[in-house]
Amino acid sequence: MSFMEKYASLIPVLGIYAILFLVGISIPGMWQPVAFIMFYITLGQAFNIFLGLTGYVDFGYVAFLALGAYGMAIAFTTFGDANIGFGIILIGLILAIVMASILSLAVGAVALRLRGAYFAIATIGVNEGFRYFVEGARLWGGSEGIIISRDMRNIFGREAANYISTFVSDILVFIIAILAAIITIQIMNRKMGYALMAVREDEDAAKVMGINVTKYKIMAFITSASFAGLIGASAWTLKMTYVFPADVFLITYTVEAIVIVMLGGAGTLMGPIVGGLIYGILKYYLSITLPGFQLLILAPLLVVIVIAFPEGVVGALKRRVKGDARRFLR
Amino acid sequence: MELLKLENVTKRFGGLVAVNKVSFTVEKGEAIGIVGPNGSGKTTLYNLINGVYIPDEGKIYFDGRDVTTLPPHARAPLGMARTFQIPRPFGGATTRENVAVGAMFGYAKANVDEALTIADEYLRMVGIYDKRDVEAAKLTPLEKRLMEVARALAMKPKLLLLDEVMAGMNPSDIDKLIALLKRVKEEEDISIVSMVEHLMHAITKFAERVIVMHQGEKLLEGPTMEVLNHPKVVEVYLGKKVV
Repeated sequence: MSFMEKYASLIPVLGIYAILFLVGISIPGMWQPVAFIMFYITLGQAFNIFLGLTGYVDFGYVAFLALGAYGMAIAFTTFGDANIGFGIILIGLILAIVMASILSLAVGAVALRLRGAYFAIATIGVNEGFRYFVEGARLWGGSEGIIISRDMRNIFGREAANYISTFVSDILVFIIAILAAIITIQIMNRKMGYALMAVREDEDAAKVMGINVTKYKIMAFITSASFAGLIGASAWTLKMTYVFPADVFLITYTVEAIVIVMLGGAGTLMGPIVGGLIYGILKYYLSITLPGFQLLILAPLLVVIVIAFPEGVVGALKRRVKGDARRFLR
Repeated sequence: MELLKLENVTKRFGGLVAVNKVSFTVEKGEAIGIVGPNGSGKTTLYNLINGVYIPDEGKIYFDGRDVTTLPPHARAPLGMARTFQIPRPFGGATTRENVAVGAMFGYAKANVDEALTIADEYLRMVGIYDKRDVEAAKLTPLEKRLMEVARALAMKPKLLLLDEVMAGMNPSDIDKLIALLKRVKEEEDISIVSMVEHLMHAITKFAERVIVMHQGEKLLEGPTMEVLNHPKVVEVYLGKKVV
């Protein structure tokens, strides 16, 4: 495959990110909604690496997000002295990846030997179990969580700390979204992408073709979990400046991630972006215009979209597009 | 030189003995047929050879190696390939991608670009090159079978296991496929094991040797014509003469 064939599909993705970014910084009052939408796009991108590429539904996905959030918080409480400066954010991000990937390896090595619905059921317990473990064992502050606002002020000063939580954390989410798109297309272009396609379509036939299905599923799982960790660290801890177990171990985020991926088109590069845009915009503006009623409108709307596009918006679009234009839509 | 060797292989499902103490060998570059009526243990035998099932007793050697307990994904890269009785395409992917998967993870171990080239080559060979960009789920049943043959050949196997690959084909398609298989067998020195239930005339044109399965056991083994005309085989298929 030529370079264009491999990477042309990144152009519209990066284009949408660029437009969102420009809208956010140039139109007053738009940064907040853009960051809100971008959070959902990024969450969808990260989850798509697992759900989209393997076809397995992980109901405990938010546990990785939560661990990432804790990773960043622990970095501040453990290494947070005034001399360390911005390096603390890097340490926090690394810790987020490490913690999320260790948990995903542990969960994946066991649960990924189960098929389909059995896997989904096994993973529901992971999130709830981990939350009660943190609260019950009084780990990382137990149910009181970790508050890092004072550490942030001590390290960066009041101004910079404010700037980090209102702007830098959102920029990090943009960067994570770009990275997730690049990693997704890299996986799709490599043997791993073909292996995961085979797993998604017919796992038993895949094995007979010589594909070590468990290995590739675990690889996708860890990659996806690491991105969730990064999102948790940036969009949660850095932005909110605190972590409470009741807030981060919230199955709502898993459900939202599933909705975004399915809405846009599972296993496509563009899908989570379209899904995130639709879901993020609807949720944001419905909660402003019709506060309290947003779910009442959002839910039936989603049902309609899912019935109209069972393969997701991008999945349906891909079928219509012919010839060279296909390269741009994957 | 022997490529595949089964020694007293037995597989039970609860009380049912699906394959009972079966032993045989397949030489390098040989074409053999496995025939037997429905339920005689042919498919179970295939699943044992390629690792979908692990035998309860007995040993399986492939290319000089004991593969008895290896999982299927570890056997394919050693040079085993198979087709399925009911074709199992990766439906959402294109025909070309399906065949490329074989080239990537089979004995060929090609990288993505090589695999796509290999895929084109075998799609041309089996005659469905013009369907390369079609979703595999949308192929006709015949095309699906041909795609599976291409996918298996793209793995560059030493041993090709065909499961009822000619069932439902018309005579001219069967002749074409047999000619193709004979050619690749000579060119690439592949051993081919072909399993059939009823298409005896196809087997006679193709197999050098035949193994007859009956109720999980090996009933007979020998040169094709000799075996197929044996009274025991006639009895297995048609029943005993009553009058």
